[in-house]
Amino acid sequence: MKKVKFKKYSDLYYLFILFFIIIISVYLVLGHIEKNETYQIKENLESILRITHDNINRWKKHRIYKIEIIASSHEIKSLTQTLIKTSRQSKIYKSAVDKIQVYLQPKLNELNDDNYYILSPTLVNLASFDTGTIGKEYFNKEKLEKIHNIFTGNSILTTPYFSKFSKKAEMILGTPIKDNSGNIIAALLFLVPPENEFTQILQLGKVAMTGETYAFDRNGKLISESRFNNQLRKIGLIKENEKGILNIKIEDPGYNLLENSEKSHEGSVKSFTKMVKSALSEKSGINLEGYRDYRGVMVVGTWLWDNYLNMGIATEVDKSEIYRHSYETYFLITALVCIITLLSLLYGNRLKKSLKNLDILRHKLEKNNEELEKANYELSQYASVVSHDLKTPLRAIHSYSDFLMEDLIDSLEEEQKNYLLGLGKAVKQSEALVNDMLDYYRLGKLNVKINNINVNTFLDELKTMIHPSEKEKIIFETDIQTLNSEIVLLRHILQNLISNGFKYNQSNEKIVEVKIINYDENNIRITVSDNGIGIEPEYHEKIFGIFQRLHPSDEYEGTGIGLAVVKKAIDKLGGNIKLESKINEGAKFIIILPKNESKG
Amino acid sequence: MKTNICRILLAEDNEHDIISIKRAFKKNNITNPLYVVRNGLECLDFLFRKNQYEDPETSPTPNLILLDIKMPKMDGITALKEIRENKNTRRIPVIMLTTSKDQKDVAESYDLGVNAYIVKPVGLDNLSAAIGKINLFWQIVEKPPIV
Repeated sequence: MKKVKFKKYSDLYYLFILFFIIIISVYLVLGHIEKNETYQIKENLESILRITHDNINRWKKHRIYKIEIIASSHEIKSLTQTLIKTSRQSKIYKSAVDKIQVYLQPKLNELNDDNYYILSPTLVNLASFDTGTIGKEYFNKEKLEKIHNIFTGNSILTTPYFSKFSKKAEMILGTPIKDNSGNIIAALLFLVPPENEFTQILQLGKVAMTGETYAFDRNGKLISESRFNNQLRKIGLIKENEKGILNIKIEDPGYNLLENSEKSHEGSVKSFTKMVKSALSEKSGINLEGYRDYRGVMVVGTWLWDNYLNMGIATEVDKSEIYRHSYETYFLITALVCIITLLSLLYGNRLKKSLKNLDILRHKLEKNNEELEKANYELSQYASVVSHDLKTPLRAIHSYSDFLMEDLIDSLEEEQKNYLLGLGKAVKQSEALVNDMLDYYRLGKLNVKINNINVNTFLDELKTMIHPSEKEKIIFETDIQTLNSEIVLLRHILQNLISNGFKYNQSNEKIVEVKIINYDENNIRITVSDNGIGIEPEYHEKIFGIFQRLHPSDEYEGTGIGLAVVKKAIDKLGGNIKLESKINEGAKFIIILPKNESKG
Repeated sequence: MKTNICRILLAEDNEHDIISIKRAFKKNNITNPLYVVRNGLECLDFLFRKNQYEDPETSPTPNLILLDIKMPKMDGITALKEIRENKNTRRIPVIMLTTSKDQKDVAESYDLGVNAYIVKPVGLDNLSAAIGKINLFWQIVEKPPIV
């Protein structure tokens, strides 16, 4: 009982250890993955932002360099001087404008710019691609300030703005035009469409499926083209024919517009996204925990503010996407752990259950066994007591019937005599039965004591005990002098078999042959064969059971216990017995017994 | 010895056995006085004249004891020990009566100086055989037994 319990606990114990290891491993792995993932995201975002920023800067410098070259070209210089010096209506003026057009047109095409202006210091349009009369009024105050900057000798590139006249976004690239003595005589302006190179550079900085890099101005307005124009139209942030550029204020809608496009955001108080708030205070930063972008989607991102560019740049990516791998890993591992846990629990429960069942079963068996042993003991006691107590009255009946027979034999009629004979016979049978039963139970209690037995002496004694009649003959044959066995049991076995050999025998000369020979290294073989009536093969096993009789008791005496006693005795001696016989051909009992030589 | 009459004491609890033994005696023409006690204690009382057996007239010292092994109150073996330990009774021949050939009982009673034993049922043959073994004793009996 203790052993089983211990086993049960140790199994659960292992289960717990297994759990513990799994959980620890999962946490370690997840922790590592998360750390690694976060680091990777940070690295990626930062490097994309840095590269994009660099590229924008280079592009600006490149554009300024290019326009400065153009502005300092001989053609522009001399033609601008001509424009200044001559009247607008003069032929020379017009020819100069044409020449400028011819000169700048291919450059404009090459640079993909929309238009050029040559402005006088009083901001009069001296020449432009579409010969418009656009001047001062074309630019707002802020832009005018910038343009004024040109006349102090600086080249400029403004942030994109929406032009009321061209009805599109544009950037002003400007540089002074100087005469040969270095005096600023005019400004050369190119109108740069921001959706071209500017946006393209920013859009190169897209991250994964949902990431984008974009720029915004001091007002928090989107100044590069959004990657998500379709989305923005769908959620109503821009109109059907509008583009994201300059139409989006980078404000946090307070909820995810993609998921709640129906929801009205009229009443809600909007504020700049966390990113823009930080950037407008001219700080750069990174946020990996997540914040809402202008679509209301949770994103992670990094940003900076550049005073030279006068704009902020941000690189953002949907948080759900960036952590998708992590989520997937998390999910997989969690699922795995859950499955393992579930299986373990199931298995554990089943194990526990089956162990418990086993315990109960074993308990029952033990109890049953105890009860059976008790019952068996009681039965054997009962049989023994009953047999013993029956013995005395049976003996008395036997005696009385003998006395009556002795005293009345001469005076009785034949019929009455037969009754008396029948009584005697019945009593004898009863006594035999009781004696055999006593033998059987006594045998069960006998302690086997192995002794060295002289075979010839033993056989002689046996012959004396059996006391064969004239018609009966016992033949002994042996090739061994002594054997080691329990003499009482051995005697009982042989006595029984030999008397059976005579009993179930109708030959005129009843012969029983007993052979004791050396069988092999460890065993001796005893055969008891007779010339009797034989036993049908189908009964060969059955006859060794208790109370098994093959013949009616009036035909052959016997109690049905004799061979059971023999079998029991042979079992006690550690041997075995089998029968070779056919009907009417006699029987041959073959007994194999251990030599028990190790003892002596 | 006051008298030549041989008195026999039978200690036997089983009434059928008593009847059988009486019959065997009768058939063997043994007419000696037979005193019967029913257990080991009564047997000792008879021999040592105690309790109901105080009167020497009705409880004379026997010349032969037939002692059953299995008896209530006191068994034959225990009674035999007492008989053999007392100097007045230790020379009295004792024939043990037993129902089995139990080697242990037989050996033990021989150790205690039993003269013969009879495996019950007591019949003509085995009684004569047993008595034959104590033949010397019977020489002084008026009518010697048929051997």
